[in-house]
Amino acid sequence: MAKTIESDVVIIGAGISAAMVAEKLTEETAAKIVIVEAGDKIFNLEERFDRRARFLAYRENPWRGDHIRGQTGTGIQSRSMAVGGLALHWGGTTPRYSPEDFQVRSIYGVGYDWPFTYDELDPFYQEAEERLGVAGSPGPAALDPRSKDYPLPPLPVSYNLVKLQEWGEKSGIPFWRNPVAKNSVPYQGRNVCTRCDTCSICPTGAKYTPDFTFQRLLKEGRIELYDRTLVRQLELAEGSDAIDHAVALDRDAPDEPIHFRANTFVLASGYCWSTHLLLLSRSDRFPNGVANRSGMVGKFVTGHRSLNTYVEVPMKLYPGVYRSDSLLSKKFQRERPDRYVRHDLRIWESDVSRRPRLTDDEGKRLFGDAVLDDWKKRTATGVARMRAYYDVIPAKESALTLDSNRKNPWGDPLPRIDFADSEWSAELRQHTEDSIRGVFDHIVRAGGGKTLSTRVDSLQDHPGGGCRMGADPATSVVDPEGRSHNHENLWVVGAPTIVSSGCNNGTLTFAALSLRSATALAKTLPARTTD
Amino acid sequence: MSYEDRRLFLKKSATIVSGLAAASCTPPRDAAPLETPSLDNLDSLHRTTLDAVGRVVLPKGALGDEGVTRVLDDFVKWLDGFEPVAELPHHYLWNDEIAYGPPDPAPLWRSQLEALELEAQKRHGSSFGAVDVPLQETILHRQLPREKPQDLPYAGDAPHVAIGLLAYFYRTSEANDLGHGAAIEKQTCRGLDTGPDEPKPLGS
Repeated sequence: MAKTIESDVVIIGAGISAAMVAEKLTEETAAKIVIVEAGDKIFNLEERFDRRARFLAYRENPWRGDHIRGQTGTGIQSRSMAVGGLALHWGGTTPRYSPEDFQVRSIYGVGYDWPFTYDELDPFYQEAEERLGVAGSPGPAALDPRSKDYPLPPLPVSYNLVKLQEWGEKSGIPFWRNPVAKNSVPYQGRNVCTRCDTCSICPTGAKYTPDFTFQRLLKEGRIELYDRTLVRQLELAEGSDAIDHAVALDRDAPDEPIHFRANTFVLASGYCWSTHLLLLSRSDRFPNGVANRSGMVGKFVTGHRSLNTYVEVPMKLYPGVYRSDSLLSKKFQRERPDRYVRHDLRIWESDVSRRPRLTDDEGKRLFGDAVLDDWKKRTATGVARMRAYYDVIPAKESALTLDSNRKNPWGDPLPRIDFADSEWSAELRQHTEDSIRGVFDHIVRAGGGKTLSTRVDSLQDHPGGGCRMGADPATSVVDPEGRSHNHENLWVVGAPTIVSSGCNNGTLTFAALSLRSATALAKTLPARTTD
Repeated sequence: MSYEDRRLFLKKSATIVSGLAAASCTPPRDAAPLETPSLDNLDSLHRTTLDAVGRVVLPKGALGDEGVTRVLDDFVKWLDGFEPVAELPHHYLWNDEIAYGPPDPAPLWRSQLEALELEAQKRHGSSFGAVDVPLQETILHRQLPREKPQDLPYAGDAPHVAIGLLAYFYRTSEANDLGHGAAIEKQTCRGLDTGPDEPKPLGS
């Protein structure tokens, strides 16, 4: 006999998208909200200085236990599974996509348009920036459009970035500071950033992580949170296409299933596990999985590739001042060249090829003061890292599927993710990468210096998709608000719903999309009365 | 068991196991008798040898005698705090199995310090710390692995105690400052008050 837990809304997953939805719904509705997360709660702010120290000294994982043994797929995904999700570790980088990302088909004749424009998402971008606490200063309006200022002023700039901006802009390409979800002033009860430069484990809590939102909502009694609880199946109501309950497994008592019954279900488990759960939820009426009448669940998984280059620059730099900070340009996202190519551009300080070494160029072993003397000679000039993310338009066959040969400890088939470029992107790949190399070369020629190395990173970064949004139920899984075309009471939010990955880090866009979905969802729930 | 208790338990367990393994190795008959290695810390003989290694491999000109001793003290403390086979961070978007760090390097490094001592005694009839620096360098060169990688490893992965010491030191903020000749103070929580000024030269 399964234990049953009733609520108005069940949110499956407890990452940044879930945090946005839960926070908004608790503000605007009277709904009883339950959150179910397969991973552990790691509420450890008071331990973070110690964990940071051990991470620096011994490389130890500062987020121990933030994964589930055996719960991993094949392909590009993260092992992170905890309350807070992958955003426990994130760098806090929060650029928006550019307006063109939403209309590549209309503007350039390639890829797919999103079902709404940048201008329609702008208020949700702003809301996400305010909830996360984004610090920044906008770039030129023509390149970096936004309707309001950033909620927080930018963090102080380092000497290294001032010099690198001067160097980069000799090319005529404008650069500005990359925005970040780190408090430049005390904000929402969290500390100010002290620029410890270990953002994967922020010891002060100045970087936004979703655990703060969940802790506050728990303290205020606005949510119930079940961690260590893995949802394995969505079950339909009898004689209806509505979802009736989610079948879950308590990792501490795996033989005693839990049924989470609710009026509304929100899938907020990221691009991999949201899609995976839909595919696992097979029934007579939906033999290919819930929400999958069109066969589109798992299709069009999407990311962006990058080119990285390291350049010896004609100036002394001081790596280690604040290497987390970077410069951004969106110039090449907004242009309309004859042949389609779009990418961002970032610059960081780097110590590549400027680290101490054990042998010299002749292979002679170095000891004592010779190690330091060799190092000092090589740090007379600095090194810049540049990177460009370019968008990759996915093929329909770019897909997440169930791998029947690999199962988790509870017998469920694990996900397999195989990225595939669309014909557009396959044809454009060489041209795109050559164009980016040309931009790198142009910057180096204008600013001076020498390219040390350039490589293409084939990892499809900031992945999303698998539950693509759209107006047409034949070619998408959810509508433009994130509601399933097939199930009135099922919503999918954030990364799984994106149409393409654009050319920028994705987290802010996933948060904005989640807030857009939450706004629509809130209208279906009883409004909150004034306290 | 708390986080700290668990770390100490793991460390102690690993040290006892490796200590038993080390005890099965019989020293050469003509070797000078050596003290039994301590299970928890470097004993005085090992520390004396380590100090001599430090004077050879660390930048004594930049650090001075006191600086070398301080770095060696810090290195020994670091070694004492080492958790064998600790869980390492899983990288962003890598779905590989969770990685774990190396076993406690102390037993291997202790045996290497003993080997330096033995060679000095056998070849020169003197302890490693007492022979001339060029001879110490020669012995060290002979005992280091033949492979000569250019990059410094993570200290805990170092195949020899001398490389471990170098790797430990050159990851510190102090070394970074020396390497760049300026007070960069990397990984310091520097706050928001410092603006875009160039880091000050060392000694200014």
